Amino acid sequence: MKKSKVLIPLFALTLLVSCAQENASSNVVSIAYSSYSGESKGEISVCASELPHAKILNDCVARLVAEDGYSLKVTVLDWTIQNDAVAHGEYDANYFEHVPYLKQYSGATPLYAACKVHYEKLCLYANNTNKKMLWNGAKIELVNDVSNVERALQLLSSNNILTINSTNYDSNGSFANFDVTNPNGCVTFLDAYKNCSLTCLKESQLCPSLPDYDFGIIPGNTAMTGLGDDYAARISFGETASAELVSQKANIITVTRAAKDSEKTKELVKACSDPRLSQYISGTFGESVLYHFENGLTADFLAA
Amino acid sequence: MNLTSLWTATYETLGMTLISAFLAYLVGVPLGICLNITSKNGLHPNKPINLILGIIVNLLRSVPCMLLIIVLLPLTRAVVGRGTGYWYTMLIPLFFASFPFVARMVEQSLAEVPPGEIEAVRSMGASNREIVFKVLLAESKPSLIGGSAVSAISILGYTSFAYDFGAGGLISSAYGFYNNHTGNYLSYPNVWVIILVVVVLVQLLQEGGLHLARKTDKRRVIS
Repeated sequence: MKKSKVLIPLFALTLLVSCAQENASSNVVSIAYSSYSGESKGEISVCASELPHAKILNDCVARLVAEDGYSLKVTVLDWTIQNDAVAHGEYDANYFEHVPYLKQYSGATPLYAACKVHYEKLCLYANNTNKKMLWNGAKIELVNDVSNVERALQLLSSNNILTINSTNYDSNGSFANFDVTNPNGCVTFLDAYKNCSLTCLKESQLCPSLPDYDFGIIPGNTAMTGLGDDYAARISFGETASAELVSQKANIITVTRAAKDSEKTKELVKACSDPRLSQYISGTFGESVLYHFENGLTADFLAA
Repeated sequence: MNLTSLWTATYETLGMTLISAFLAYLVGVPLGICLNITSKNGLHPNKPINLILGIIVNLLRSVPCMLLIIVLLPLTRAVVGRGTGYWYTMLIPLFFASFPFVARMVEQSLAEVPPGEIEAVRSMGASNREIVFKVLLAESKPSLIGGSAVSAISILGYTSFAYDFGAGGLISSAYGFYNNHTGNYLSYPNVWVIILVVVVLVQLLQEGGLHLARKTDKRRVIS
């Protein structure tokens, strides 16, 4: 039992060290929240993607709903099962997607977009801050989920780097035929960039992998947390956040259509419309995440 | 990360690992015995049954755990009421991922019992039932216990899939921390502490298993 004599004290020591260093993070926005002194009205459960969604919910929305006597339980889930989980009644709401993605949902239980909350800016980031101009032959990484690949390619296409092959679109005009394992076969680089190449990676891998490529098309929230403090210095170019694009790609709170008029949904929408959420988001995420509220309870985004 | 969340993650991991290992052994031991006694050199050779059981075990063992979780989502929802969000939603997929493995481990352990020993007991008039319980299981006990440590450790590895399904546990909590601090996660103690806790758990399972196995090993004359 010699091993345990070494391991247990070592373990205890590390625990102490870790607790001592706890929560030394920066980016703390000071916002005043009032307290609630009535009977608890219950728990609102929301599943969300890790960043920035779960962070926004935990750091700010939880305190806003607490002012009205609700508690918020946030569960991080893979985004691919979040709509299904809400449809099965496992959570009151989810927070990860934009309206175009929700429109593709084909489950038996109809879902509803309760409100728009934020927009994440997509930029091309350079690995080397001294070589930020895209050159012919550069290797570019981008996300591998098809719902976001089109947007990444449009960023390159609007900057005259490549054109998106029409074969990616099916007969309904939706971007369905893209092959994430062969992205270079799905686009045509302009002559000035004909030696460039694309590689699709999982979103969480984009930042750690950037040194293996020359450029990365990385969603703003991921870049901000993943590339360190000089992330803004790496931006080669980014999306023009037009009002139309911000509204279209804004991330939403989704509930079941049946729960559209429930008190919990109203409470979530109310919290998301609070100006303090705007203050929190701009103070925490800067330019990379833009607060954008639109009330879905008064206008059905899915109908449009 | 604080002590409370570390403790929560630890008991989620232990809950997922130990309960699904227990469930897997409930099914895996009888299945392993069946595989062993119906095999060609077994107590009661039965080719069709051995073949069918073997195919079921091999099929389930071939399905990667991640796929198994997705395929079993409807079953999980039917049994525990929900498919994501709590550690116990992983029990059914982990059980299905591990019982075939356990069955093979048990079959292997039983096969280690020397045939001469079985023959000797049989010549004394023992029934097949007595041979299974009093010879096969009794003689292979150390190997079975050692195998259970190996199984539990491999199930602990499977709990990493809990991250995508919100089921928590140590590995999810380390991965979640990494996702929130991808730029400098190694400069915080969090990931290291979690690795250390996992290493300690695995060591405890391994050493505990070996210790028990040694204790139950009657074959050793000199200790």
